[in-house]
Amino acid sequence: MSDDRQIFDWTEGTEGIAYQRCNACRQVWYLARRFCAQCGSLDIALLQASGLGCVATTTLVSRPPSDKWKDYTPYTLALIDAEEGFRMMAHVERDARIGDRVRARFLSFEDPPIPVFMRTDP
Amino acid sequence: MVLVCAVPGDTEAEAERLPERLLVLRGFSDPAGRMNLDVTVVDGGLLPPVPQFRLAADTRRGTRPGFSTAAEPVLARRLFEHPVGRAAQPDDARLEIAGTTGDVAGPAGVHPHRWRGAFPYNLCPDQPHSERKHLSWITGVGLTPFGKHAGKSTLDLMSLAAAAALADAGLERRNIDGLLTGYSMTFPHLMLSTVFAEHFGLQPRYAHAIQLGGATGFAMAMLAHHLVDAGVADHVLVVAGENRLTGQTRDAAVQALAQVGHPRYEVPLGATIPAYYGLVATRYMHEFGVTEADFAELSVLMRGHASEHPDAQFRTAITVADVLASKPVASPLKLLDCCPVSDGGAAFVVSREPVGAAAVRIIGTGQAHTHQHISAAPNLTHFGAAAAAATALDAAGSTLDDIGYLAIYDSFTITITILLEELGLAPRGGAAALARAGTFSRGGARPLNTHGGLLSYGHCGVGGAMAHLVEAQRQLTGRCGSRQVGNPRRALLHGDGGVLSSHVTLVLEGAA
Repeated sequence: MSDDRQIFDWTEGTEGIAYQRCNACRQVWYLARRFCAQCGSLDIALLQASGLGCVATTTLVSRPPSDKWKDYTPYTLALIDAEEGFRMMAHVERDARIGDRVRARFLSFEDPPIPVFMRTDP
Repeated sequence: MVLVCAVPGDTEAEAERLPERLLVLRGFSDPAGRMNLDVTVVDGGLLPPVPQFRLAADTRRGTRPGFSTAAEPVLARRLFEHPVGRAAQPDDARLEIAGTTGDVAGPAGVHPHRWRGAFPYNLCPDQPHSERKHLSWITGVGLTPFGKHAGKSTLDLMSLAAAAALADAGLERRNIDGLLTGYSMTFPHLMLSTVFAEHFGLQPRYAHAIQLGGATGFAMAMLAHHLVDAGVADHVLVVAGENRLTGQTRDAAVQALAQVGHPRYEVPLGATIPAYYGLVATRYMHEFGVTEADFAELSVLMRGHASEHPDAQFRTAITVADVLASKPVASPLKLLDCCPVSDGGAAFVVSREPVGAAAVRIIGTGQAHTHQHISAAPNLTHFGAAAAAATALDAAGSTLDDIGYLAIYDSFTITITILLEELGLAPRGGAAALARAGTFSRGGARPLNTHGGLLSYGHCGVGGAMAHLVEAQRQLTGRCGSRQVGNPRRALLHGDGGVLSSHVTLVLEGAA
C-alpha cells in the first residue's frame, strides 16, 4: 500500500521526519532501508511522522566536530522516542530533560535542515 | 591405551573406520593362549587416543630417527581431528574410541586439548563432549610508550611493537606463519596486513586485517586463538600501531572518529564520539542514580595506575575535583572523562604451543554485537557485554569468582562504568563505590587496568585495547614489577567498539 503524498524528510533536504513500517509484520523503524530487517518483507511503507515525541536522553556538546559548528556551539543533542514508535537523533532545546514531551521544528542554517525538538509542556 | 599415527596415503576414510576396526581386532588371548578375543569380550575399554608420530620412526640408520615415514603434520592433524560417524558407534557406551594420528607431542606425547568433541562417544570423564577446551597461548607481548612519537609512521610503530613481541616470545620472523592487523586512520590501506608483512619481513601462510573499532584488538586475539587451535597457523602475530596524535590534527581526529556515527542520520547533526557516549551517560545517570563525581572516580583510578608505568602518556596525579573542573566536552563528559589521542604500538604472539619464558593461555572467548549506531541500539543501558562474557566464561569453564585481574575497555569513564556493571563486576550504579573502596586498585580484590588504561596510558586506536592485553599477560606471568598485583591466576578482558556496539570478552589463565 503506497500513497502519492510527498513525504518530507530532513535528510533529503525537506522539512519533515520520515520513517518506515513493514506492512507484513508492522515493525516500525527510522534508518531507511529497502526491506524490513525483522521479517525480510519487501512490502514496506514510507510514512510521515507527526514530529511529536519524548526525550530519551540528551548531551550538551561543547566540543564540536568541525569549524562549521563553532558559532552554534554549545548545542544539545538528544535521542527522541517518536510517538510512532521509532527512536531518532536530533537537536533539542537546551533545557530539555529526559521524559519531556517535545515537538519537532527545523533549523535551516544548515543543509540539510536539522530537526530541533522543543518542549510542548509548559 | 591407543597410540595413533597416520602415514602417507591415509585418508578420512581410514580415520572413520579406525574405531570399529579397533573394536573387532582380536588382540587379546583366549584361555588357550591364542590371540582370539576382541576388546569388548575381555570387558575392556579404549582410552582417548594419543597422537604419536614416533610410531612411524625409521631407525635403520644414524642416531636420529627419520620421520618421513609418518604423514605430514597438516594431514595427520586433520585426520586425528576428523569426526567419526555415528555408524561406527559401539553398543558399549563405556568405550572410548579414537581417530588417528598426530604430529604434536610434548614431553609426555599427550595433548588432551587436541581431543576433539566431534567424536560422538567421547565419554572421557574429565572432558565431556560439550566441554572440550580450546586452547592457545599468548607467548610474547610488546608495547611502545604511548604519547607523542613525532616522525614515526604507522609502520614504524607497528614494527617496534612487533619486534618487542617476537623478542619476548623468543621467536624469529621465520617462525611467524600467521599475521593479523587492524587499521590505521593515518595510514588507510586496503591491505594493511600484507603491507606490514612485506615491510617487517614476514611471509605468513595466513594474513589479513580486521576492523571492529575499539574491539579490534581483542577480536584479533579471539581469531588468532581459533586459528592456532584449528591448526591453520602455529604462531600468529597480532600487531597494531598508529601515529594518531602527531600524524593528523586533533580536529581531523575528532571529525574522522565521528564517522562511526550514521552518515545520514547522526553525523550531519554535529555529533561526535564523546556525544554518542554522552547520550548514553545521561541516560545511565537517570536510570541508576550515578553522578558525575562517580564517573570521575574511574578516571582518578586510571591516573593513579598510570603513575606507576613509565611509558604512560599521563602520569600526574589527579583528583575527582580536577575531573569535575576539566573542560566540558559532551555533558556529562568532560575532558578528563575522555581518553586522550595517542601515538603508539602494541603486539602479541598467539601460539599453538607454549614457547618462550612467559606464556599464558587463552581459555575462553566470546562476542556479541547488538547494533552499530546508538540511534538503533535496542537498549540504552544494557548492551552486549554480558552476553559476550557469558560465552567466554562458559568456554573457559570459569565464573567471575575465578577472576583475579581485570582488563576492561575505558574509552570514557561511562564506558568502563557500564562495562564493569553489566559484566557483573559491580552492582548497577556501584562501580564508583567499589573503586573508592579499593576493589580495582593494585592491592584490591580485582585489580583493573594497572597500566592506566586508555584514560591515562593512552589510546592510539587498535593498539589501545591491546595495551590492556599486554598488561594482563604480564600480570599473569608476574612481570609487572612495582605494578605487580600478586599472583593472579585468571584474567577477564573486555573490549567494545562503536558506541557499545561490538563486544569481545577474553579469559586468560596463567601457568599453574
